[in-house]
Amino acid sequence: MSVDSRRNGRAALAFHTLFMIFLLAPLVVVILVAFTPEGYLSYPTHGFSLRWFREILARPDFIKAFYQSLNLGLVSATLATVLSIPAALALARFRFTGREFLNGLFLSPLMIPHIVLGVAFLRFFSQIGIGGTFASLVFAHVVIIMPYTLRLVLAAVMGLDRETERAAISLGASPWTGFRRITLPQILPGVAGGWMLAFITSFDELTMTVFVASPGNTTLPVKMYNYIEQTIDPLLASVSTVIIVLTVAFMLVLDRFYGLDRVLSGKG
Amino acid sequence: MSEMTLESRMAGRSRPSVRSRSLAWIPFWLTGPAAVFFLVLLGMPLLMTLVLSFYTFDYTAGISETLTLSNYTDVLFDGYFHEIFLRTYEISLITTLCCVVLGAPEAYIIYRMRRPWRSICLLITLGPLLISVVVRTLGWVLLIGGNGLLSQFMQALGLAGTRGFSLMYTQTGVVIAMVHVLVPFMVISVWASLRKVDLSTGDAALSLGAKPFTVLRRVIFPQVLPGVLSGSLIIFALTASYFATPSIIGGRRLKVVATSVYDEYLSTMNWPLGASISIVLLVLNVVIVMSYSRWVERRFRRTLGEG
Amino acid sequence: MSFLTLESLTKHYGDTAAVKGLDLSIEQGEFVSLLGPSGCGKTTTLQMIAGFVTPTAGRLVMDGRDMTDLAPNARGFGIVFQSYALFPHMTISENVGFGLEMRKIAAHERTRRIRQVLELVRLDHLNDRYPRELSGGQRQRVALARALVIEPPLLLLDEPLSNLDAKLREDMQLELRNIQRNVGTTTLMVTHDQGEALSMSDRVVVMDQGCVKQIAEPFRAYEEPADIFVSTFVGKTNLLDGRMASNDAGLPCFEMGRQRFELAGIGMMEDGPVRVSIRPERVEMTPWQQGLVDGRVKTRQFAGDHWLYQIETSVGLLLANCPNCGPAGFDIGDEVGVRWTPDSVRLLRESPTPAAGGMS
Ligand SMILES: Nc1ncnc2c1ncn2[C@@H]1O[C@H](COP(=O)(O)OP(=O)(O)O)[C@@H](O)[C@H]1O
Ligand SMILES: [Mg+2]
Repeated sequence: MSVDSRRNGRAALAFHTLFMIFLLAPLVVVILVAFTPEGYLSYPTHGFSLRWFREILARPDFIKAFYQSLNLGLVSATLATVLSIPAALALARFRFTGREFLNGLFLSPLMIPHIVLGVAFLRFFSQIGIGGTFASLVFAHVVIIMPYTLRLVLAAVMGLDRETERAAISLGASPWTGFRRITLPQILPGVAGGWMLAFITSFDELTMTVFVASPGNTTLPVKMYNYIEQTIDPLLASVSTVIIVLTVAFMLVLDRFYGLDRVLSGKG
Repeated sequence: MSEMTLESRMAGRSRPSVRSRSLAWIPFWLTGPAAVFFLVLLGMPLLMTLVLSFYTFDYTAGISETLTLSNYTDVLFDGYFHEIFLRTYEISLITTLCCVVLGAPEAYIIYRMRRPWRSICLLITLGPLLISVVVRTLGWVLLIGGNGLLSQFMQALGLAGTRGFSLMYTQTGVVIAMVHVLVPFMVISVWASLRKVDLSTGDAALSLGAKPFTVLRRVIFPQVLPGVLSGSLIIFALTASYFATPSIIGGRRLKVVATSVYDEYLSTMNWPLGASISIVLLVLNVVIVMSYSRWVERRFRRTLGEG
Repeated sequence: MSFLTLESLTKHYGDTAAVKGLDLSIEQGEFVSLLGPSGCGKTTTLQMIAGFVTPTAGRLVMDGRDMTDLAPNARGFGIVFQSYALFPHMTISENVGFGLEMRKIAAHERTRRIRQVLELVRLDHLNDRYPRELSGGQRQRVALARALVIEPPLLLLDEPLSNLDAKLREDMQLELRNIQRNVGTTTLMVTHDQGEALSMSDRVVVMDQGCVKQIAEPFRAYEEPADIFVSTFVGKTNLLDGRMASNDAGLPCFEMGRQRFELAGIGMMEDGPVRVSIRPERVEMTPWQQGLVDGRVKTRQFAGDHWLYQIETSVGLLLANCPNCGPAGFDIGDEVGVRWTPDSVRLLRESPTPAAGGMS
């Protein structure tokens, strides 16, 4: 009885199947179209072709945008993590004046629409004269991804047995040694999970980046968006397919390593 | 918070020893870099945008620093903007409802699955969150566009004429794609709630004579309601300010708030007006989020508070 | 001059006082327990000694040196935490070697001392395991080894055995005390388990609500409880309320209703209400009308080596603990007599002044 009551019924499984089709259909369609031999958008009804993947190699602008996105993700995720670790330690372990304010401040980008951040950064960076530079992209991305790293590092620190660090200190370790040898290794999964989530968020970001990027410094999503504004051809589908494959690989690593549901619900 | 010893060293009542005085500065050193970063790189831009929204714009002279309220009177009292705001929130509301109807049951179904399937299905559901929105929206363009799969399907059924059938530039199209983009948030939110639910409460209800559907309605659903509500909030707030999907699928014909901000900034170049639209959007968003979460918190503090 | 002295050590958390003016001196090599109910301030006291909590007032002096403001990593005390706080990402050897590493002890010397201390706790065969691969009792011993290997002048134990199951706990009590005797480290242990405190310590410090109630050898704390709190917290007891009176011979006695009971070893006192305590094992059961009072068995509980009876008598419900010497004892409903010797009756003071007596 108890086991059966926890099984899904036939209707539930039908619902589930439709839901899965709904989720996967657009991705599958993109992948299919990427293999079309035709010069226009169509499904590969007369055999598969790799011509649109070869076409990517002939587009240095797309390749450059891809590397820009990669660099931007690496640099800004790392910077956000480095800023998050000490902040999370302070927020988790000390009660001090301004603690609530800082907590709210660091998480506020989650509540501010990216479009608003985009226009705000556009104005700010052009006023201080660094508009369109790689540095300005990094700054803007750190602001929007730090809530993710902070939440995961914070969850890791809160879930930590504080006494291990005290044990280290009682054995003669300095606070810094205690942190480096005892605390950091234990919160490392949370730190890495936060870094990865931050990286992928930065890599995918479009809305805000559209305003901050410049023709010289553009990211892959912005490049694709601008391309879509002009025309939609199978090149977009092949680029998208590459992105899907890379993201799925990344996701499997993240899930294996930390648990996708834990990362995405921001709990430790 | 179980560890409060360091904090209480700082409570001010402790003896003024050198050690506790230097300890009192530790949290400020630790949060300092991030705080400065945020105050400069988040505070300043928002403040400058607020100021910008009061500047005057002229098509020939550009932006001048004469202060005016006319941008706000335009946004708040012009029927054109009313339509855009109403459409935006209508799309948000419908998208949120669809996400509840699809996402909450799906989370429960996945939760009841057996071992390998459970994590596989969860992965398939949550995975798209990591895939670029541009890619996912492109998929919908290919599906619902002029000669997309949907159109061919309808033609085959004889439901569409030879000119094909397209949901591009329609509200329905935008909602479908938005639901696809955001429904994982509902699943993850309900999932997080489900992990705290003791499924044997369902068995307890069955043993007391409740029918399976009654168990779902009276025992399980109330326990995951906080997850549904917080998921709804995330989805509603995100949809209300979403840019990529409405822009690609809705285009210029079906403007929402975010796309109109984009157009003011990058086509019309009327930055002050764009700034005031963004400020209104931001304020509405914050007000909605705040009052909703306060309501939820008051409603559930006693029974299902974080424990 | 004592080895370790706590002088009116006090800790306030906001408005609540966790520890109120605790005075204690400990001799070199002594094993002292802090005993008290949960929340009475034992951990706070230990943390103040360890340096993790800064006292609101008071001093900590060791070997004539004021340590109140010393950083915790400079104190060199060995600490065994309640959760053990083993480093999950390090092997047993690495855990134990951590303190030696911090002291910059050369590798070969380190290896030797790790092996030695692991032999002491009988874990030398598990040195390559990780903490999660050990049982509760083994983890406990690793924690002890890690604290002892640095040869600390003082060993602090916070509820070291409370995470173990009953059987293992008894074994570890013996083992822990044996190791401590062998090594000779001065030890302060925190526990809420009176049996543990009584069986392991040279002296017990009984605490309640941040105050010391009694400092005494275990036997004395049990036999001569300083007040009502100590008498009920340390062991089970029967509390009787009555009056002081004098009998026909003019000697002090305890009066309850129409009945008078002799007392022993008590000087003359004013007449007035008093409370006395009689330990259950001092209450002897006799046939009907052959004891001091008569009663009826209300409940009985069998505990292997003894029976515990609740007897309804004219002086109230009495607990009697009778050794099990073979035949089944009395049955529920049996009419019995109850008696005790005059020297089993302890007069209790109401005042919470800690007993000065009993100091070694
Ligand atoms: N960090 C703290 N902040 C506030 N109050 C505390 C803190 N630590 C302990 N207390 C309070 O001090 C009292 C004593 O606590 P503790 O020393 O942990 O007791 P014990 O170890 O005897 O159970 C308790 O009432 C507890 O609530
Ligand atoms: Mg304690």
